[in-house]
Amino acid sequence: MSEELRRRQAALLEALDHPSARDAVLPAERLAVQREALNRKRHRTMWRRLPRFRLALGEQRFNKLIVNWIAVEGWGSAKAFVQWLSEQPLEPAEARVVLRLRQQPGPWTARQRTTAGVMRAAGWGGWMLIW
Amino acid sequence: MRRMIPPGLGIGWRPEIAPFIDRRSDLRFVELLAENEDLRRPNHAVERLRERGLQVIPHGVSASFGSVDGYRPDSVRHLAGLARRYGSPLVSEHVAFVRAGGREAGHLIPVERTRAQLDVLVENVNRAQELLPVPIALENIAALFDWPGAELEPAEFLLELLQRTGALLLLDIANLHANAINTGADPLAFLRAFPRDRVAYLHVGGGHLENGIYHDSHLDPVDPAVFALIAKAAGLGPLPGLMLERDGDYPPELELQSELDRLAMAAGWAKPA
Repeated sequence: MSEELRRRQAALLEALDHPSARDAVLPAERLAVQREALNRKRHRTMWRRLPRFRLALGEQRFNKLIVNWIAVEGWGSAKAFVQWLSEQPLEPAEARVVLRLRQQPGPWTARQRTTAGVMRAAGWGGWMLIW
Repeated sequence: MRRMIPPGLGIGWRPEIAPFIDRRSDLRFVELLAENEDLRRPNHAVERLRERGLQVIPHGVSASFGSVDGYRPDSVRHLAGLARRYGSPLVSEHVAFVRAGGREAGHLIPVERTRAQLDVLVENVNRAQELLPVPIALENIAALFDWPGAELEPAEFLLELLQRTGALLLLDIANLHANAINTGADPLAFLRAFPRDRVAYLHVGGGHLENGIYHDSHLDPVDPAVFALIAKAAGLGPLPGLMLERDGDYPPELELQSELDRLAMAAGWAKPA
């Protein structure tokens, strides 16, 4: 039973991110309402608030923010976020940032390690920056 | 009667309204969004409130107790760290999931009301409690939809979760209103279902109706129907601490004052001087 529940939970989140997902789980109109609410919800959310920061911060600082997130949240979470970002409508400069992040061979580059280390030492938690 | 947060007003602490919170002298407690806090950097404004005698409740959003893939222990450890820092009487989280299948929802998603889901919640909450130095209160969330195939009523589901875990309830009265509109759940049945000694404290936040759907935005004034529900809850027995959640589009200070005054009146407490 847990396996079936696991499948439904995963299918719902996939359907919320991708309107074309085959396993919709819920009626389309309810999914659309939930999707819109998630995108609109500006408080207490991490990923959905980032586009605002992306616009406000510009490419370089936004890139740093992602690196900081990797430092705090781990690469797995950041990779999934970058995938989600790449599916959003992006400005050319933003798309370049996302493309670079997607093309990374692994979790850490020397520059990222240094930046993340400095940020951690400075006590800049990922959430602090993101929220 | 075990009442973790005594009767009185509280508010969700946000930096934008920190000066207002400093000035409002009748507040008894503040709730702190755990994910906004960094344990390496003291929050001096909140520490001052603590010195003034206000209780501080760390409130998490990212533990994901409903996830079949398991909850997030780091989120719970963070709650524990904040509880130790501020001498909190309890911490709180949600009956929801925020991640599954390697994806993050970015916000609280309602759980199914099935036996299988209940077992997952019980296991996750029980494990999480081993990491906590204080009790945990679990909040009923606002839902935009109901999963099909529910095996239990909303109150029945939550009550069994509390019984099997020993957790307390953070009762969000505005969410009862939201769910009444969005899913047809009966708010009064919910209010009557819970023994008062299981209710740690109460939330209310603002929202708005749009195309027949109630959005629990925390960006709008509290709905008049929510004040009425508070009054009905007060009619069923004494209420514990009651707090306002406001997360943005902050109104002028007088409006915020007035909203808190109206909450106190609805709860049957004396209006502050």
